[in-house]
Amino acid sequence: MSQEKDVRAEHHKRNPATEIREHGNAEQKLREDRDYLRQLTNSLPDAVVSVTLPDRKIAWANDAVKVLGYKPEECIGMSTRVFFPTQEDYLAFADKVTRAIGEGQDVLIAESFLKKKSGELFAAEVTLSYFKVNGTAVSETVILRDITESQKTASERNQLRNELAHLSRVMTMSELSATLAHEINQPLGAIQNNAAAAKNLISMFKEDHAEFDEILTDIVTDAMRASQIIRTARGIVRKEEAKFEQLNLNVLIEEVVELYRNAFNMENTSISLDLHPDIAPVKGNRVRLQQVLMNLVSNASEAMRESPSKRLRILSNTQSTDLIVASVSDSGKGIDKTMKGKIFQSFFTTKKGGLGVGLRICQSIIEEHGGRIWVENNPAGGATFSFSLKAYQGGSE
Amino acid sequence: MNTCKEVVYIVEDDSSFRTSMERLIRVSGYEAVAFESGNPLLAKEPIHHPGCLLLDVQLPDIDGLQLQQKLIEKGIKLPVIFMTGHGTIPMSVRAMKDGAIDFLPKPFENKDLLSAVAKAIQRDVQDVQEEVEKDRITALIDTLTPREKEILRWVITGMLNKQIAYDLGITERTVKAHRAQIMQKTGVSSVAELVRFAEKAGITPEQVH
Repeated sequence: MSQEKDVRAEHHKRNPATEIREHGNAEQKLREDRDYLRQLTNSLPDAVVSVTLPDRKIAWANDAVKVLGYKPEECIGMSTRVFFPTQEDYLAFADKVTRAIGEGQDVLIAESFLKKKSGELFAAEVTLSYFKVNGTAVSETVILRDITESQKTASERNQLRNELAHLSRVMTMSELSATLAHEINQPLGAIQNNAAAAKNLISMFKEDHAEFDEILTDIVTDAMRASQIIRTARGIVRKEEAKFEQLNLNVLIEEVVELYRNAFNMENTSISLDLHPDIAPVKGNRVRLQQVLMNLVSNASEAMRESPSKRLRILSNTQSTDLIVASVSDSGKGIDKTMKGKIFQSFFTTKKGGLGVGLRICQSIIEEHGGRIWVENNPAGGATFSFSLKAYQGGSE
Repeated sequence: MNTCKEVVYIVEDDSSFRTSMERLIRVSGYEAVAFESGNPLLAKEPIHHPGCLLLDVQLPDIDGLQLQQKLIEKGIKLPVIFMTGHGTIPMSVRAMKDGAIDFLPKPFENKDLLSAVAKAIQRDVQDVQEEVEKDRITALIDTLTPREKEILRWVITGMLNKQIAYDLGITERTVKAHRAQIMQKTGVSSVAELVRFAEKAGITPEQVH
């Protein structure tokens, strides 16, 4: 305000009376511009303060400083130090600013915890831009944005990602041990059967065969012992009981796509969602079904790595009144006929360094939900993996 | 395989396990016929009785539970014992519901296998006997005239000749004559016996309102 008065006084000194009318118009125009700018800055949701340098005193603030608990007029003359939780935080930030100016940057964006008037802390994004006169920064405009909400969303997303990663490891362990158990039980069973058959045959001999009998009994006992060890080991990594709830498959799909959004952008993959708006809810475990979707989406994206055009399509639909289907289609090479039968088997993989358990895990999750999973090649190229799940039947179960 | 021995069919894709099963079944006094997948068994005609089927749940061409279903659809009645390397509880429940005799997790003990096989063969003997009895009865019923078959359905409701005659609008004497013919042709001597007889052949009593 005082600055404005000075300007006006100067005008009066310099200008003759004949020019007053003209100046009146200019003043009017200036006032209008100023009001317009004030309105504009006050309509911003972020706090904006103008700070003089090098003393870092606030010269002006918009209405939105109330998000920090201050009135615009009480800020004037205050040091920006009050916005920081501690002196160290303030100094660290000031140091960053000094460095940025030294490096010739005009704008600096940083995240920091700030303190409201009430003492409450919040996560903020701070944007600084400098006003320079002859290369020296004389003032800065500071925009303070509350990013608590967006950080919360990001941390929830991270949490989901961690949960899925953990589940993936647990499932892989459990699937691995199940498959190993199956593979080992097969020859163990054969050993046991053969020993039993031999025992049976030997009993028909007239000669003394007590020692043979002992040997064969030991073989049977040891084979049993080995299979018992496997059973115990399987019990240790057995998956914990999953919680089943009523779920909307469309929501799960959207959440998973959100996780991959950045990756898709980077790989130039176009993604289209064709989600039936009225699909019935399904009964399932959220994290496990998302695991299936993630696996399918990540496979699709890998299948398209070499493709000139990368199109991913996710679809949800109602197949019959009580059956919901979701599909993930890619524009990759599709699946070789000879591999179609093996694709859901454990340890089958076409990927370098792949373990070959991803689709097997998908299959066991879908089967655990009483559903079915299958794959088809698209007429126009690429493959489509689909799974069907039963619609949620009230509270009958 | 022209033998009166009981036959144990084995469907198992793991060759060394299959061979061991064949040996064990053979030295236990049965005939063993083994296949490495499901479809050859489905194509096999005729199936020897009495017998049973030792079926691996995971097969390369068809899943064991589906094979069990296909056998039922084809009208092949053969008691099934499932063998599995990693059987889950829901899977075994489904198999048992569809009439499996037992569910053996691999590896299994000799005595468990043999007791399951003995049980399955015993079931098949019963099934075959019932089948033979049903065929005999069906053949006897086929000797009845259409009118006699109709009267049979009335007789097994337990109604008196007089009532049947009234409902059909014929004389009591005619009903009596038909009834005598039915008894003679089927070789039964009482209505109670006739009811059991008709039931085995799948003949239902007339719906009386």
